[in-house]
Amino acid sequence: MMMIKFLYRLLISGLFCLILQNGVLAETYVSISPAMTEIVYALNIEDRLLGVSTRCKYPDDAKNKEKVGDNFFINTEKILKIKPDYILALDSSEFMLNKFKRFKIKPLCFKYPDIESIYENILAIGKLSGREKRAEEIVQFSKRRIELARKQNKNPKNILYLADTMPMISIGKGSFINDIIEKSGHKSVTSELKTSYPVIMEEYAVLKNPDIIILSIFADDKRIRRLFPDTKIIRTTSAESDIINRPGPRIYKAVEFFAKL
Amino acid sequence: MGNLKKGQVLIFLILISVFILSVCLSLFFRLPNNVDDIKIILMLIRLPAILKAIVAGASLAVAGMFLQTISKNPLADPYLVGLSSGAGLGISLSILLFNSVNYSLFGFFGALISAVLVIALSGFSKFSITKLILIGLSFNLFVSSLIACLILINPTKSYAMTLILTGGFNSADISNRLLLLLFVIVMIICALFIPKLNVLRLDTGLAFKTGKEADRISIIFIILASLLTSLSVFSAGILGFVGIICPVFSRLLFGADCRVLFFANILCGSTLLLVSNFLSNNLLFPVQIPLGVVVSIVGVPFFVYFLLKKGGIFKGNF
Repeated sequence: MMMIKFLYRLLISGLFCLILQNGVLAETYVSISPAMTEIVYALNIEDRLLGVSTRCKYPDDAKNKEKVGDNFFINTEKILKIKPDYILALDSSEFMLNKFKRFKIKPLCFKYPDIESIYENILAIGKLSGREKRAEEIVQFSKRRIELARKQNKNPKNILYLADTMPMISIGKGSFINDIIEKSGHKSVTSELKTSYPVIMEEYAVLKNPDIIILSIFADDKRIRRLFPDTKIIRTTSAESDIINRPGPRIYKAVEFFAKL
Repeated sequence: MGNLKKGQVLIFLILISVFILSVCLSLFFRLPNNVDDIKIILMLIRLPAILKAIVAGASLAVAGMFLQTISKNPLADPYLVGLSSGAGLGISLSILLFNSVNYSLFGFFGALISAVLVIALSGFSKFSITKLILIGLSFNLFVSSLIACLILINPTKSYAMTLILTGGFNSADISNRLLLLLFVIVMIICALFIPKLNVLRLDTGLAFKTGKEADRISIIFIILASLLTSLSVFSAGILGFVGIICPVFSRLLFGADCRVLFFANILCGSTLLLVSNFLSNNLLFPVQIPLGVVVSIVGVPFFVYFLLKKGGIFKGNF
């Protein structure tokens, strides 16, 4: 009788340990950046994603997740209630995430100065979640597509990318959009500027004589059309803007967008 | 100008030459060789910027002078009547809610409406300058929080918004003719009223039979100052600092006669903005330093130097 009781206890505690261990293995995440949400979905670990930001709308399923704020304004209590193991974010949000360390929630803030670092971010999250293989696949696929797009681009042009027009905010060497334009075979006319998003002078833009001007969705084109009467001006749509501005797994689509110009 | 001293005439001449020099530099420095480019750069970029600099600088300085003289306080600035935040709210609303390009127009009306509101409130039971200042202050605080909320709920545009709210000339694409017309009209009205401002410098009890008359003239000048400040918002957004230091600076140099000060302020204000605009464009070319930042960096050391050297005037009443 004693023996059976002992065996029974052993079995129960063994089961309990197994459940506990599984729980520990499957870390949970909250993402406060649309790019990070896309990476999580691309790695097929969305079931471990417990919360997203209000701006995470791609893929569609992300809209159904619990909302925890946006990249400037996060709901601390909600995150503490969800209690994920990690918060995935871009490094611009780092300053407001450090407080979570006290609650054993680890903020992971990723840098994204170029496409290579975006690959590193995907691989890092893949490693963290035990999906190294899938992450490697995503990266290799993206690399192949970018290579292909670059080869198809036979006509390199000088491109001026404007995030805003009043004041004129462009992209410099520190921005991954600069790398996207270069990888697509074109040249960004503002690549000599070192900061990521420099406010540039209109004269400078005029003197650079770009072949094509790409305006982000927020920018106004009336004044630009007066300043550049003979230049081709393209205004990105909301979907294109999302692809270009997100350091996520769809980055190859951004390169393809530019390569087709 | 008959009662100006020799030294003051000399300073006037120096100021005028600095003004002309800065206009020439702003126009012709680093011009390209290509004729087409020159045309676009001069007509669409540099000339409008110079016009805006002159309008904004002169309006702010003169408005500052009016308010400092009326309130007899060198700390009064053109945004006293809640104008800056009113303009800011107008600008933020136009960009964030209506997605409008004409945000300077919204700023203009925002400034005007807030001025009307604050002046009306301060005249509610009995008008007094102190009441005006306090109501303007509370209005500023209240509306600034509204602006902060607006920016926070629209994080995608926060970077551009912050830049726009610090002021600058290349931001808004506005009709230059309209701006010039409004500016000339308001300036002529101001010039007509200027002699009355001299009377306000005196002790109110001595100068006027009743307090009501003094209040009436004060209100006229407050309305004129609000108009001027709204004009400056229209051309350059919200620029702090110019409206405080230019009036004090010209008073240090040219004494207290408002007729002289009027012209001195026009010169000082527009020169300060022209020089700052030139520096903000060329110091880190092609990256532009926000104008407000340069104005303070250029203006403050200069101002403090003169304050230390000639500040004896401030021992008595302002």
